[in-house]
Amino acid sequence: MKNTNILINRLLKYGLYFALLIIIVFFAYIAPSFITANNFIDMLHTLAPNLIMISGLAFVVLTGAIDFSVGSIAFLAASIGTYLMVVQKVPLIITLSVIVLSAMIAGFLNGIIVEVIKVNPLITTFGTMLAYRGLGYMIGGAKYTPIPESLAQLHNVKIGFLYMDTAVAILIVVILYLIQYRTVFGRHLMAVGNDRENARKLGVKTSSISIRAFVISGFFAGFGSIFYMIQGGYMTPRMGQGLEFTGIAIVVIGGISLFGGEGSILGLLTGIFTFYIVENGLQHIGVSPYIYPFLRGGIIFLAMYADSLKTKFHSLRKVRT
Amino acid sequence: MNNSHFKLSMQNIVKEFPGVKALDKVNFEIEQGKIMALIGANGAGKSTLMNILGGIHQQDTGEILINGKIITIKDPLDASKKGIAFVHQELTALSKLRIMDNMLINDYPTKLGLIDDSEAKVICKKILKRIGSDLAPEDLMEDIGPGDQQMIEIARALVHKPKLILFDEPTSSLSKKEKDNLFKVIKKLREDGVAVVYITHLLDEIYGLCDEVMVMRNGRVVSSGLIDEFPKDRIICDLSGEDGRKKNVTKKSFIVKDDVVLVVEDLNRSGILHDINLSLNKGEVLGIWGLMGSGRTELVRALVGLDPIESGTIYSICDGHKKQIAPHDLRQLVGLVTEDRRNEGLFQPMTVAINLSIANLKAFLGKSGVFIDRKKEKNEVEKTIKKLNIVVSSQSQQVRTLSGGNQQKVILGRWLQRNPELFFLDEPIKGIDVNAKAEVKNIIHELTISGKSILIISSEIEELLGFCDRYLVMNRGSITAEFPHTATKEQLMEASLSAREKGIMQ
Amino acid sequence: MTKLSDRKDLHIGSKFIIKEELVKHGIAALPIIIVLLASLIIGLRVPNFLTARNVINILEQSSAIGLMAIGLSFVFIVGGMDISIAANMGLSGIVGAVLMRIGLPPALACVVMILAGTLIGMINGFAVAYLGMIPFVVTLSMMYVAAGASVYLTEATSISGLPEIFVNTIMMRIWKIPLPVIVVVIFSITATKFMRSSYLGRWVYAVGTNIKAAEIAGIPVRGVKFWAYALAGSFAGLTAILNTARLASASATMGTSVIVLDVASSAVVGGVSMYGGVGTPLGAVIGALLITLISNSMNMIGVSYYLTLVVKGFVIIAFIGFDYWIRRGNE
Repeated sequence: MKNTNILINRLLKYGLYFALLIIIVFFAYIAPSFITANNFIDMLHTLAPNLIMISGLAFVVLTGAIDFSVGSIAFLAASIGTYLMVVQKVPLIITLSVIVLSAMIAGFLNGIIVEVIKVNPLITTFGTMLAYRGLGYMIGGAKYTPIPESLAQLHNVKIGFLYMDTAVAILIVVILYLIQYRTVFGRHLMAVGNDRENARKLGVKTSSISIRAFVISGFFAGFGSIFYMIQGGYMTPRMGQGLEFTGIAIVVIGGISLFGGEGSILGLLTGIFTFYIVENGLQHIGVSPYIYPFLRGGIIFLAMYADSLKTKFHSLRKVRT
Repeated sequence: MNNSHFKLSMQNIVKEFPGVKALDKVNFEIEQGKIMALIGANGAGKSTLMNILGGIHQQDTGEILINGKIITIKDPLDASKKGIAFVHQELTALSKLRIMDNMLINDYPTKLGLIDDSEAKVICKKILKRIGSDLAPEDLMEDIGPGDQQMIEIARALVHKPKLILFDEPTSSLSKKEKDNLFKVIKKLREDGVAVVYITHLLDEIYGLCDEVMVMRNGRVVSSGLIDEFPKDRIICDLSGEDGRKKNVTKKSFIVKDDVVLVVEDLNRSGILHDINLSLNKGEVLGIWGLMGSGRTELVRALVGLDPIESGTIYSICDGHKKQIAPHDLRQLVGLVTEDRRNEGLFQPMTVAINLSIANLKAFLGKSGVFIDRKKEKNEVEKTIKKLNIVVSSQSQQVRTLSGGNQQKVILGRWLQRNPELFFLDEPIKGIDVNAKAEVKNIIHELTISGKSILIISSEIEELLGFCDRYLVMNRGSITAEFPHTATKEQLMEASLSAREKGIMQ
Repeated sequence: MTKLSDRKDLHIGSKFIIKEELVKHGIAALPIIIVLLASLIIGLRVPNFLTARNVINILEQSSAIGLMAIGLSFVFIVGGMDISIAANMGLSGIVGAVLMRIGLPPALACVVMILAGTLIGMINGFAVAYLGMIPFVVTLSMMYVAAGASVYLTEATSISGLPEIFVNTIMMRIWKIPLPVIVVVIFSITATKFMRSSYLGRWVYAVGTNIKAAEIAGIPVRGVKFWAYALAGSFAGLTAILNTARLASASATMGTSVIVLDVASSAVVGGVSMYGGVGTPLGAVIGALLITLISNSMNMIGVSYYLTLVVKGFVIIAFIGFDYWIRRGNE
């Protein structure tokens, strides 16, 4: 009995890499333009801002909670930033700091509502998703606003063969990986996600950890929004819309369980890669773009079910009374 | 070698919880290099006493002194600082983390802000070696068995170099080999000058391991001293004691002939129940007795399919026909009263009426076949309330505002409506006042007169005595003995403290 | 200084009676009080607010949310949750619209829409009740799939050109009251009667109150859960009919997450706790009315649409936080 469990666990863990490999090979075979270095570099460039925006979300999910408001926080922070930069002509340094700071405050508010007022994270972040977006609209995010040239010109900067934002994104993931596995905070994070009650019994300050995770989630949402604006050259009202869904999907595909305590930050790379590579490949074949959301939905569905099944395989605790 | 002297004493400790005096002027003393066995039945107060030392509760009055100096223990972290470690029976494991994380979660060695993994491994290996374990610190907690996990609990306790370690039923998940290893470790701890308190329900364990014994009952210390002064008989005697419960309902007549209605063969649930064999006769009251952790509730839950079983067969006998029956189907034939009536029996925020009728709704359907005939329901509920003498201001009173005794009657009443042939009652008289106890027992008695068969579990031995036709005693998931209705308290007590060797009942 | 809650004479059993009474009556009445107050205040300031026309307008606007709230109330009462209900509605509507466009008689298309909704609900129910999966995950993934399928089927446009007879029948007015409103009223009353007076309804409340006790009491817990989700799906399908007729089209934006939030908060505001065991479909519909009222009245007094979103977001959190506080206090 135990052996089949281990087998299935292995399958669920590594099955993704296999699937990815097969997909890449498949597309490479059918569409040669797919497998060029340029294509990959461009793809990485496109997904970099998103990757940055959702990297904090991964921390929240690791604690066993969820954050649906990342997209809206990114939007709100960017709206504030745009207002300062364009309307008030505030110096860039200050603006960028404010963007990040306001995003952190938004995340902090999420954390307070969850831990102090004790509303569950799902409802909280669903509600703040709405509220933050509304706030963002009110601050002027509802219209297309071009960003200052000093910022916009950065979008073509390359470091080596990678674009700047790709390099930053990868660096961030590596740093977060280190935090997850090599710091006390990271270990406590995993403990809270694994078994919140036991962690508390062992003296871990669970509420504080949870709030910090939300702040981090907000931080990266804001930080990432900067790169999003750089890439597009504009602030758009649709920024971040749907990010919460794709973000959570990427997190789950990358092996970070929605139940908490399981998965590595590096999984974000696999997750986002898988997510976009399928679309990219299909693009090169010339498939109708309308199937993407459906396909995405299917992938997400499978990933979540797999996550659910994985959790069910863990045995129940046996204590006699 | 630990040279500093260590002596801990608790003086005149009193602790009350709402409705019950858990500790009544308890005195306790232990010093370094001694292993003390702490014995007591459920509710004796031993857990509460240890919880106070462990920082989980604070005493109402009384002092704790270490080496003559009065101290307070605010919480588990504080207890640990004061040199006290508590290894609980229930594992507090972070399953997805590594062994070294479980041991050092609050004590990571750091270098430049990052965890120093190699130093951490060294610390862990040293402690693991001390307890004779060769587990690798990098392994995941969920990949090792419960016996090893318990070892890690002990290892964690040793991280802060405690002067006193409290063990609560440490052998409950251990194999024989692991048990021997544990005793070796505890003896070595004694050599190192650590004081140990060892709580257990298996009397045989303490001989050859412990130096001193303390027996508790009803929140008081009955006796304590060197182990040589405490042969098994004396401990059992001290545990049982005299009791002044006057209002004891006894059964009027006892079943002698066999008229079997239920047979259970070779029921097994790995780690929880072992080779359960029993039979239940018509009109019989079969009492299942055992201390906490013996598996009584698990047995009942397994019989009705609330918990899975690995092997075993259940037969129901109706009009002479013996038919195999699955646990899930058995549930439909049994009036089931569970131990935790507040959480598993009652629908707390709902009315008495709803709680009474819920198991039998189909009998109240009107002509539509779907909608409930409120009038019919009201009448039947009223009848049950009267019959069982349930004290309520009205049918629509919320059941959570009822006293414990009345709540219990509601649950019984619910099943009376459905009129099954079998009743499995888990602690039906626990935590209710004396009058209600007597009333409930009378109700049960009347059920048997009308031919119903009852399986009753109780941890209050005095209540079972004289009330059952037969007794089954359980310990550690096995049935250790069976007694006829003439069983004495001492017999039952002794059987509950014995282990069952494979195939042989002691 | 003894606290009020320490005075034993004010206790029944072990509960503090004053708090409980206040809570019981106060909470249920709170939303209604707020609504009446709000209506009065706004009615005084805005001339057009309390006209029959506007009232009917509000009723009509709330009917879609209300209908879905009825469906969701079954799931909430049984102790579960269904975030996919709006996406379900959208997809079912699209399926129906597509079929009508290729010539299927509207009446049949309506049946298909209800069946489609029910099917999706059943898949949810099966996963939750029989596979033992967490409702949040199940319905979240279903939401993704349904949303994705919606975009795929419509190719990101809206499907219009639906048969006029369909639109006109559904949207017709009986004595000036739109049919959808009448339908919602009828369903809310019937559903409430069903929940409160049938044995099946009683079972749903029991499972939502205490699933362990329900199991021990012999209630078929898994079946009850399954049908709650299936029924929620049916109501999603029903709402699909309503919405497609109202908009005279179907598109993927019909079932966005904003709508789910509206529906969930309608239920909670209307007394159907997310923790299960309490509330009625009728209450959920009243909740829907309130939520619509908030938007509508803010609109009337000139509040920007965006601010409405902000207010709604925090109001919902407040109500659910309140809900939790109540449940916790009552345990």
